[in-house]
Amino acid sequence: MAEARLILEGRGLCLHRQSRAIVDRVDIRIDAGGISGLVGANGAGKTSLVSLLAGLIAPDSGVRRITGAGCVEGAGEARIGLMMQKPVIMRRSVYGNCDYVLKALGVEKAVRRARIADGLALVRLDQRARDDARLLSAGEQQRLALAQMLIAEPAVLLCDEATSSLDPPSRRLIEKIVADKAATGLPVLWVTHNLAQLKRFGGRGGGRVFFMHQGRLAPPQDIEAFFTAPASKEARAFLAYERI
Amino acid sequence: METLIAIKQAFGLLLSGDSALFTIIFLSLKVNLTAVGYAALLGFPMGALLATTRFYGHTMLVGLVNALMGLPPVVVGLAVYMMISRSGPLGVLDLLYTPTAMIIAQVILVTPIITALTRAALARIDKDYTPLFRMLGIAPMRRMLTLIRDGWVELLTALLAGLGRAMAEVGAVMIVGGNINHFTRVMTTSITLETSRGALSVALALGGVLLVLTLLINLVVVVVGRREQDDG
Ligand SMILES: Nc1ncnc2c1ncn2[C@@H]1O[C@H](COP(=O)(O)OP(=O)(O)O)[C@@H](O)[C@H]1O
Ligand SMILES: [Mg+2]
Repeated sequence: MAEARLILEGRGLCLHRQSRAIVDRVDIRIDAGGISGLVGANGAGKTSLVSLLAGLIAPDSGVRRITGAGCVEGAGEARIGLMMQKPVIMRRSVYGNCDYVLKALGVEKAVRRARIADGLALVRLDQRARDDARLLSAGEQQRLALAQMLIAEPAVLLCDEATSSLDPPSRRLIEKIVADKAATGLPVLWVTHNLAQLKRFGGRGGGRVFFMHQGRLAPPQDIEAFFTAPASKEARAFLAYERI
Repeated sequence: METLIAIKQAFGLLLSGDSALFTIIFLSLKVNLTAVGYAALLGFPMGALLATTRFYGHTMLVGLVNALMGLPPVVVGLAVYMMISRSGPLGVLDLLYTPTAMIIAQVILVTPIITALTRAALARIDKDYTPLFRMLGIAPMRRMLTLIRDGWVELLTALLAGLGRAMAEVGAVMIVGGNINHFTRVMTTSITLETSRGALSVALALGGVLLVLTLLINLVVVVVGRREQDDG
């Protein structure tokens, strides 16, 4: 993964809904490894920004660029892995959900089989490969989504509140796997409104913290600096809530 | 008392394998299955296209297809009649009062049903799958095939709904088929005729078969449909 250093960048990203700027002139660049955090209150625009970065929606203005080594034309989209708060679960088996992704990427069958076996073992779903994916619990479905993204060998992983609605064991397992991947050089953008999780988890491997408020993104800070001396008034207020 | 005798005779007809009766049943199945087959060939792709594409007039077209589900069969029969009768634009084909004419009418009646149900079902799945499709950059054709594959239960339900409608249909096939013995006489038209001339046992026998077939179709719809609802 480390050989495919890729830069994911947004410049002047704007997204309007009902004449309101949900994402407002955002510049962001994800290139370094480690786990970066994207924090902010509910409704700050985090999901919208991540959707723009993942290419799920097009910005009203601004550009999103993927550049760097290992960026293949066409297949470029899949180089960005996205875990959503509520994953897309296809009406197929656990294996079939993984296979669909690799087939779409044109991976040949023998390689698919090996990668899926590894991926499912990693998220501890190897015993469930043949089960209908829709019968999995929420935590298992999110683990499946993680496996689905990892077997595609993304160059960047975006996790949008990926564990926010899960029980502690599932959360811990997903955090551990993502942290391990980040340690091998995979850049991760971890989106959360949960400061405890950010503290425990974010900032590893040189990742930084982006704070979002009403569609605006503050310049990134190191994690210690963010907690001790937040750069914006809004970030200070956001941190203050947690201390009470 | 008369009713009881008629019912008894009806069973007698069925159990004896009355050849006239089975000719009618067989023709019914042949006409309707053929019509539903063609309607599916048209309706599945059209429904899938409507579910996955947006273009100028899309909303109106979807509304139109939904409205066409409620087409009055006799009006369709009349329209087809005017097309294929001697003086009609397709008169030279000499289709009036043939099974082909009945199939044409049935296809017109059933295609909107299959199209509309297919569109609604695949649009729902498409909405769920959209983030994944976008993430992977799935091409339109592959996207449609994915939806058709993963929505097969709904497609089967649509197909059976169409078959149910065709089997129950009487007005249109009567007009364009003419209810000719041994040639275009199907279960519904036959029941109409036999009842009107008092041959209740034949009407009952056919009615029973039609009822059982309809119940079977709906049973399959319910069983298969429930399988899909389990996922929540
Ligand atoms: N499709 C939409 N139409 C209208 N408003 C939307 C839409 N999507 C998001 N929003 C609004 O944009 C704001 C940001 O939403 P979101 O990006 O989900 O924030 P976050 O993920 O930080 O909680 C919210 O106020 C939300 O209601
Ligand atoms: Mg969100």
